Amino acid sequence: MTRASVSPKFLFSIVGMVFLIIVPEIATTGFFLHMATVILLWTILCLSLNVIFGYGGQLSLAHGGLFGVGAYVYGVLATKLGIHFWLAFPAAGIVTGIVGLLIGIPSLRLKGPYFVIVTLGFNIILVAIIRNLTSLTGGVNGLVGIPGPGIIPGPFFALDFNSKTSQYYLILFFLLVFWLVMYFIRDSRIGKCLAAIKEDEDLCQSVGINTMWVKVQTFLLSSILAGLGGVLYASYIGVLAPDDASFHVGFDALVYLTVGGIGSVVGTILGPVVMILISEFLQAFVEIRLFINGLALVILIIFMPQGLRGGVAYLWKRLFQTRGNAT
Amino acid sequence: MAELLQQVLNALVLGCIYCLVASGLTLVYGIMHVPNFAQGNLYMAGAYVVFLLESLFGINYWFVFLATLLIMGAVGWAIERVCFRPVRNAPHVNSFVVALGVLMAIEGLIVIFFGADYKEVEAPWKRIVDCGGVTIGGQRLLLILGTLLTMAILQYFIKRTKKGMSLDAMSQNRELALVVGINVNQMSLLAFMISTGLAGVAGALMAPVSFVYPAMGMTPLLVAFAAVIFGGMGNLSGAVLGSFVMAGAQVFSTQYLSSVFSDIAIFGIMIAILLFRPKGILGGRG
Repeated sequence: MTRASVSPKFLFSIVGMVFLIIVPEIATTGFFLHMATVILLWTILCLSLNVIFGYGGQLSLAHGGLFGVGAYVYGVLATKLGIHFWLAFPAAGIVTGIVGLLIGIPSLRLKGPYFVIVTLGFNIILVAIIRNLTSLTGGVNGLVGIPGPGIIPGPFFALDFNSKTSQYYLILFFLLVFWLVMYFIRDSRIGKCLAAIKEDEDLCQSVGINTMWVKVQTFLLSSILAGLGGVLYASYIGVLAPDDASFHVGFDALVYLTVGGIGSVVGTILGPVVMILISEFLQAFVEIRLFINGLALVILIIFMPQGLRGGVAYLWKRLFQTRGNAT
Repeated sequence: MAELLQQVLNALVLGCIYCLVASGLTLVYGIMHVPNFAQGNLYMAGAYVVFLLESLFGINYWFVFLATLLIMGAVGWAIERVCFRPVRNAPHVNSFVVALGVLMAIEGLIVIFFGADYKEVEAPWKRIVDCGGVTIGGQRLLLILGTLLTMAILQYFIKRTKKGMSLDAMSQNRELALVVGINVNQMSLLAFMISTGLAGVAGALMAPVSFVYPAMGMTPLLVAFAAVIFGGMGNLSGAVLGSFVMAGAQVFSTQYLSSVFSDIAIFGIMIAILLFRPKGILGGRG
């Protein structure tokens, strides 16, 4: 251990952050920027799943549905009622939070496999509802023509979010805010309770922690984050179909999170970057994607349960720690 | 009246399929404590094996049926050894994630080899049996009889043979079973192979009745979960009962309310059971 050295973690975060900020500058094609934006959107969903699964150990399979609820609420508010993005954004967050509570309160009373199965069941119900509220959601035909964030009128200057670049920065901004929220949660009292619940829930109860309340709060926050991610997705993509709320969305987020590293902050972006780039390279074989995702999930859980984040940390230790000890 | 009977018959046919899928699910849960999310896709894979064998060797349904059973048993052996055994001592949630990975990998593999379109498998017995206003296709009759036979064999195996009794013992009380020297590895392997075999049988019986396509496993999987929870996880007779209840709920809610309600009815029942009787209707073991 050298004294007063900059921790590699800090260094990586700075380099990564700078890279994220200059992406639109170095993006030579519109497609590159689109990929980067899609990766950021997946990162938001991964981090929302990470809050409940990574920190709390509760594997929710309802996050595809919650993402879809946020997206659809924004879509409906914006297209049917013409409500502006900056009003619809918090509204969609609140609605998703309520849906999250409705799902979370009964589900979180259950443990282990029961929780997983019930959240999957709730996702099916959400999709069934979206599919059948035809007058609002357009049913299987979906919603089209969802407006983007548009222009924020200001007294002194107006922020214009019509270009792709500005949308990228908007999504990056929210991602950074959500990351901060995640950091805050991890180090707060709730985060510590969550870590303890993940280890042994019965023990937590016996020392007087109201585990149910902690889990409900976390699930609420996690659903709001997923819903807001959905709003950003809908406003960026502009069209929605019931498949956007399918449990497959949640499965993919789980794959990306596992690849990146369950319970780690950097893992939430590492996973989407690696997996989405891989599936882009394999674009000639679109069908392979599902297979690769499944395979990655199985292999990583067996051989590298800490994901790439854990793998990188391990390699870093092996390569540099010994030298550090020698000096 | 005839219409009602026809609906009951439809529910019976669906219930048979759910029953085979759910029995495998509950068996694996009882031994390995893994909710095997891949079970629905193993059923789908069974149907594809039938499709493949038929297109390779023509229709000799009996041969195809037995071959499917063997192939799916072998698939189960491989999945247990390669995917589930390495995570047996890891945190519990890891095995759930592995099961989801297997689900995705199987579906992906099938799409790569067969494409996403609908396939058709020819039925061996095309006669339609008419008994007093209620008609039933030959294959559906075969499906009901095949399920009865399979479940009878399974019941005999579990209650009367040494291996089967060990399996039953382990799902009733794991620690005591270990104490009397029952081999965990062997039992997990056995349970998983039986479970994939049952899924294969379900796929083979269903393939000629419905179309064969990659997403066909999802509904049976979810309904089977609901059925297993209805009867109590790990409880075989509960799973059988649950399957027919869920099939009834599905058929009648589609018929008399609307198809929207069938998903909601099934999961509504499931969630209600979990909240008010978490050990299932039969409670503990039956």
